[in-house]
Amino acid sequence: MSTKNMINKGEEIIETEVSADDQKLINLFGRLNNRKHELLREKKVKQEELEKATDANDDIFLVDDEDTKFQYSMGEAFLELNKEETEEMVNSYISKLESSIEKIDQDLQDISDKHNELKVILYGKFKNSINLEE
Amino acid sequence: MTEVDPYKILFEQDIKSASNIPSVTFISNVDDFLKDKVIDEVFNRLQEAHQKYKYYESKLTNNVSLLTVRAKQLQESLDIVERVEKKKDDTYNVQYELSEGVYSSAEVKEPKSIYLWLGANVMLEYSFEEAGEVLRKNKESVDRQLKETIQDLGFVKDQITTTDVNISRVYNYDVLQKRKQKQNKGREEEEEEEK
Repeated sequence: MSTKNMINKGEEIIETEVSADDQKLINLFGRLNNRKHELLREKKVKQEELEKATDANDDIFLVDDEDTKFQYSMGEAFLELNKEETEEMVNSYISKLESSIEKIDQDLQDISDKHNELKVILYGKFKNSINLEE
Repeated sequence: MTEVDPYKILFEQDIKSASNIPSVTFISNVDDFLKDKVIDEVFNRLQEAHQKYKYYESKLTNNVSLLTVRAKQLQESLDIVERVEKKKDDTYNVQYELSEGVYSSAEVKEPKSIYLWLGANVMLEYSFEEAGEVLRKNKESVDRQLKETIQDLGFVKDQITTTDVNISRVYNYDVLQKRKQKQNKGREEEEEEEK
């Protein structure tokens, strides 16, 4: 998962000098690559949370008795709420999750754009003596 | 209050350490760099640096997750304060944890204030505004620390990548040097034979 200049044991070693600026670009690639994997993990967690929240929402919807009290978990305590309040809370939680997943997707897109840009430059210069893993 | 994304900094070309972590030297010219140096020593030094930064990296990664959790908890507390304040004219029930897995019910009647656990066995009563303020202040400080740690982590990652590249470049240079020597030797031998 790291970005590395491949150690060439093979026949051909292309001698391309790495400049300080090249090094910066390689670093940037690796740094964003780390972040990308973090984001993917985060996204998975959020999606699972979202699924649970959506399930909860469906279950609340199925409750016929309008006077039913719900226990809404907050920190270490449970708050007793009526149906309407609970729905409001769950829905706001869902939309929060949805917007944070959207944000993650946007960030991933930004990283992918930057990665492509860097790949053009770095592969252009170093050909196959560099290996930009993702 | 607009949320600033603490991860934005990772997109910058140049990232500096927030807490003065030393940087590795980029080898601008391997030939010059290796002059009057023993190659094995150079390798050892580079490996050492690599390990050192790897250690930093795991430490900082750990800090980032701790701080992220802390920020999330504070946000939760803020949400609760806000929620209780909204319901300050109501009377309602709350189930609270007495002990691990044991809950009891309490009636909250028109709450006027809220208590914050400050740590060191101290809990203090606050008005809703004050409680929010205290929590926000704490969160700001955690967010700042988080931002700095993320920056440091990015920086350390850069040092690791630079060291990786340094190692490969020195290695490649060494292989190339040895190959050239071998070729020269071969040529000399051929010349010998010709004579």
